[in-house]
Amino acid sequence: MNEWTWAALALLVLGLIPVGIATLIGDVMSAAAAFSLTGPMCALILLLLAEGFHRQPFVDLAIVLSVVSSGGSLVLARVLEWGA
Amino acid sequence: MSLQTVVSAVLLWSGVAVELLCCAGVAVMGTAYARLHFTAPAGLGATAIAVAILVRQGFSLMGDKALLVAFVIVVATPVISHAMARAAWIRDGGERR
Repeated sequence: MNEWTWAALALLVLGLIPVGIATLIGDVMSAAAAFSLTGPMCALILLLLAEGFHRQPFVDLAIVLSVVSSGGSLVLARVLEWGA
Repeated sequence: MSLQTVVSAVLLWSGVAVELLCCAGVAVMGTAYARLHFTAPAGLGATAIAVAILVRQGFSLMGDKALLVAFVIVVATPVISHAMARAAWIRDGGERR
């Protein structure tokens, strides 16, 4: 393992898992607020893994995920706004 | 160890530290408004990580794509925080404008 994969592991274990647990507890809006952080976190983890494993084409996954998760979070906010 | 490696490592772990602080804040705070304060700085950590890759790789395809990911996150996270806060406000009975 190199420093990039260690950084990805740190973000996954120390960052994404606590945020995932926070998403599962609390009311709907606080869970949605926590969920909005998971998309950028996953994109960064994919970016670091692509750099760590020297797989340059896999960075495209991080790009797509960052765009799609942003749109998804905006749609989720709009749906919650209408009282779902 | 070259200066390039040192700068890249400092930027990488700074970015990871910022992201972990954001995650800790979101995990510890209880309400949606308190949690949203910790989601917006994620763009700062993403920028530091992307610049770390850029310092290591230069303006290659990898470095450019890392910058693109950071740009999307930097632009999107404040917008999402605002949209979530607006949804929480309306759900709490606030006026829709």
